[in-house]
Amino acid sequence: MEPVFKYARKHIRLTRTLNLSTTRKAVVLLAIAGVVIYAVLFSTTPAVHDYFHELRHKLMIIPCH
Amino acid sequence: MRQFAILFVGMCIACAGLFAADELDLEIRSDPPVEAIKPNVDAAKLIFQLVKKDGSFTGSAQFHIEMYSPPKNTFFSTGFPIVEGTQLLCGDFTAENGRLELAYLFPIRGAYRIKATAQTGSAKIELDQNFQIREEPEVVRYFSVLMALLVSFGAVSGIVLGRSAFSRASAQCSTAAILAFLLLAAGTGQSASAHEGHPQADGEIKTTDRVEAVSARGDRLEMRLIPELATVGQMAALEGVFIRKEKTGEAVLFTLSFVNLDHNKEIFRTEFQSPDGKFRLQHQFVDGAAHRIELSARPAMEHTFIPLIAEMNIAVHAIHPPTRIVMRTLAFMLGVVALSMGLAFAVTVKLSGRAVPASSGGPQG
Repeated sequence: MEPVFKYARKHIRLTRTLNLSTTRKAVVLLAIAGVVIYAVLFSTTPAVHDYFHELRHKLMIIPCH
Repeated sequence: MRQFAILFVGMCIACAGLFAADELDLEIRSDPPVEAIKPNVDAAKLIFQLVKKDGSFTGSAQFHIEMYSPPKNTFFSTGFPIVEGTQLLCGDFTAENGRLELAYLFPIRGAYRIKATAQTGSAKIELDQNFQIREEPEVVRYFSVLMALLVSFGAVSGIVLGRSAFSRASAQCSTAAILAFLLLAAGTGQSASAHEGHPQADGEIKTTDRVEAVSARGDRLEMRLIPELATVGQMAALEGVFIRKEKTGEAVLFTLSFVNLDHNKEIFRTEFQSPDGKFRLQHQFVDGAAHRIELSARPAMEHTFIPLIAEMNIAVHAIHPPTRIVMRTLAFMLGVVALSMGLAFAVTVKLSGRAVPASSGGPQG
């Protein structure tokens, strides 16, 4: 977990100087949410898929193999 | 006159056949009852029973069973989209006392179609029945939790964006805070992914498509899978034969079971007779994991005979879900996030009682 917090702090430092419009922020947010949701629930990469396999089958609408 | 007599006898025989058919009935029931079956959790027992109108049926009967999975869903898929609208099982079985039992793990929710034909002597009964399997309540609960999480995330994001629209300080921090949260979520997922894969994928289980067992007396039990590699969404045929060294032409009692090695769960089991010691069963393996097939055989009339057992592990080729289904489901989830985000943003702006500036402040970087 250590590297995750390290990168999170780095991101906060970098993005402090960012000024984005509300629309752009919303779009960026949805894009990142899409990537995270895809990785966890739809990715076919074996390591990711195998770990979340049972979770996917428990969520009713998530297609698996 | 003689011709009339032949015609009369012929009509009597035909009527007797029809009567025999009328007297018999074929029932299909499940244990547990259909309402209590949990898809992809526990195998349910399907019982095919021939019954006479005046009591139970005794004697042997030939069954032909076909089973089809529920049709494809209009919008949301189930956990196994490739399996929807396909054939799952097709086989011929001979069973004593007109009773055949199949233990089967129903993989998905929906209406299964079962076509059964039972034949005994000249009587033949056909049945076409639908089995409506409901989704497991626990799965519905988890789905509700997922929806609640998506709505909460969208709502929190909407509130943060709504408030940041008025404050330069929070404008500078809101994106960073949300990005950090998402990064944390992604990082957690990434560290969790260092998990062991499917045994089949890692090559830990040795698989084959045929096996042969020979007893000390020289009796032989053979089994093979056609094609060599079973594929999700397609039927695979399993052929078996029991050959005795000394005797031939006797009925054989087979016990057949399939075990999903990923979950160590039995997905199919049945016991049936074969008059000539051979069988061919078509079955669809719905999970792309390694499976173990266990077959035991003994002469049907020799109850003291120690059954000959053959086992083999087979590989099942997994098919990834179609991209359009993945994209549709992903779009639905993002739609839920976007909608709740928009609503929360609108409510936050309204509560603040000010107009939203075109830009949250400063030149665009």
